[in-house]
Amino acid sequence: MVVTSERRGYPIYILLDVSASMRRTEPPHTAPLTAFKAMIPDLIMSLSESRSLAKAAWISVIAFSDAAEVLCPMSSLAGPVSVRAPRDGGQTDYLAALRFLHERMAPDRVAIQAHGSGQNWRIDVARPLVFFITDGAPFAQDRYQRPDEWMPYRDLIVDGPRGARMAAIGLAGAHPRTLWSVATGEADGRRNAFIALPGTDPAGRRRSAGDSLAASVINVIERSIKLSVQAGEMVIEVPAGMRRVDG
Amino acid sequence: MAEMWRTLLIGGLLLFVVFAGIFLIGTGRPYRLPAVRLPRRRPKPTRDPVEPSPPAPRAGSARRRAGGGVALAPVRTSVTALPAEPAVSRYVLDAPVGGREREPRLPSRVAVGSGWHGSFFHGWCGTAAGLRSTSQLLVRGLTVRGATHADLGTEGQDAIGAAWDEDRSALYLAVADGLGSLPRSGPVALHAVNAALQLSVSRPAGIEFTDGGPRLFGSITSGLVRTLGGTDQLDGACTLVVAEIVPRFDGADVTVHGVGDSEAWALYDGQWTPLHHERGAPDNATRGLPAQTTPLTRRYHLSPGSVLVLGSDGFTGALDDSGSGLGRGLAHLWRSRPSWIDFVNHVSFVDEYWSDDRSAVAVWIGEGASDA
Repeated sequence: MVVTSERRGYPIYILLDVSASMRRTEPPHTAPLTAFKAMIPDLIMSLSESRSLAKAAWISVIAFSDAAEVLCPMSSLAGPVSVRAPRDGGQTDYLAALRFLHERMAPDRVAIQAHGSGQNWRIDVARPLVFFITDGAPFAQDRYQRPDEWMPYRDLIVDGPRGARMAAIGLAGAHPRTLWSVATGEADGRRNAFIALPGTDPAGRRRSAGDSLAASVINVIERSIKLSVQAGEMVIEVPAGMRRVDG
Repeated sequence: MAEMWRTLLIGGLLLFVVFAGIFLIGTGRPYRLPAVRLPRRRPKPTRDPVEPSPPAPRAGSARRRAGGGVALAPVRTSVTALPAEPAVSRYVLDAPVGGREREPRLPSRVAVGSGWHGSFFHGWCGTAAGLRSTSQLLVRGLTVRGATHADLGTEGQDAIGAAWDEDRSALYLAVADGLGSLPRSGPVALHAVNAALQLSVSRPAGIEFTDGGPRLFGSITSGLVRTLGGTDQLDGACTLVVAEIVPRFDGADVTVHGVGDSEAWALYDGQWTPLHHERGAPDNATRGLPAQTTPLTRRYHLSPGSVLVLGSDGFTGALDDSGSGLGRGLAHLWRSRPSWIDFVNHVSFVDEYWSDDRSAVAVWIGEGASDA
């Protein structure tokens, strides 16, 4: 049997809520969506500057509100990565977001594997790392979505030996129990679900410290990607201005 | 008329060929693929002759935006201006007799980790008659903290070790790779290597190494839990591969026990053969102690001139038996045993992808003190 050299490719998804509440501005602060739109390209640029990470990591950005759309298709950090602006949305359709992500995962895996063809090594696609950022509860078509509507897609995404590892990050307005249900976690029951601490305004800034919550989320995602690619599984710290959601 | 059209056609073709040639060749010189790609970014001064230039500082203006809110992350360029064959030469004040350094005897037991610095050992061992060995093994070991750990400011988590058992005339090697998701994996890896060597050498007579894999790994795990905290407090895990090499006049008998993606390979006559690996598993979660204590066990006989290599995935991951760059390179460079400084250079190969901690312990079978 020929034993081939393997390089591991890490698919990374950022799912960003772009519903109307994410565009709400409280002067003098900027809206959370404005902050994330500016910071995600910075995040990608910073990640791509780590040469070893750029060789191993692939990233895709998906926006969701009334529907889901790709802002950035699965792209190697070793090449140019473009992120387009999202369309303005209204509600927070978890079902559409999770179903869309599930449908993207298989073709994205094939695309990453194809990148290794023609080389003298093959790409072993690792469990995807998913960062789910939202400020709302599941709400679409003017009603709350029941967990039994969207949880089956969440389970399809995370189950199995190649299932994704998912962190759910809730800004002010998110629903803790829902974040906990979306997230995956450790064997000890802790899940990678985080929610903004009280005192964080809807614009995504802590009133007390004046920090940008969006910036702390992006910083944690950046560090998590670096640590996770090095460790081979999701490693994430609690963002400043947030707490871990307990089950 | 037909003649005129034929002439015009041939003339046109000739003109096309000439202009295409000028367009493709440009200067008229023969076209060659560039051997070295020059950086598009301005490089900082290099810190080491074989270390790639660090990336240029990030400029806020580097992010380019097109209208309509499209933002572009930077175009990354491959900057590798490395010599084809890095030259490492010793600084010699007074050349040794015969032009070759004497090889020291391997310490009876050595175990080192890659926590905050690289560690290296080398030496010969084998059955000896007086000062001369009769069956010979030459050992080289290196563990280095990976670039990723260095970038993150975290501790390297590999460990390596070797022990010579005079009573059994057997060499034991161990390599462990701490799992990066847990903070105490570095100490766990070093402890596992120490325990593997100690338990292999001190095992009771009558227990064969070959048959004792599960017992050995079970004892190592018990020791880990006892020494570093209970199972719920251990906060660390590691892969482990352990080998016994019993030198004979016609080579060596080798037994390998392994859990996880640290591997064992043999090189003979330019061909790499995997002795232990766990590639291609349906689940890409890495097996490791203390959760998994049942090793895979394999036995081999290696001929004189073979090289046995145990390594963490940061090194052996780049090997294969179908001609990977590292496999081809080392098959060439290790036709005969390299000097210790060359070994350090070879294992520390430069590649942007392979940036994890990197460890290798290699044994040249049939070489030792007598040819030193």
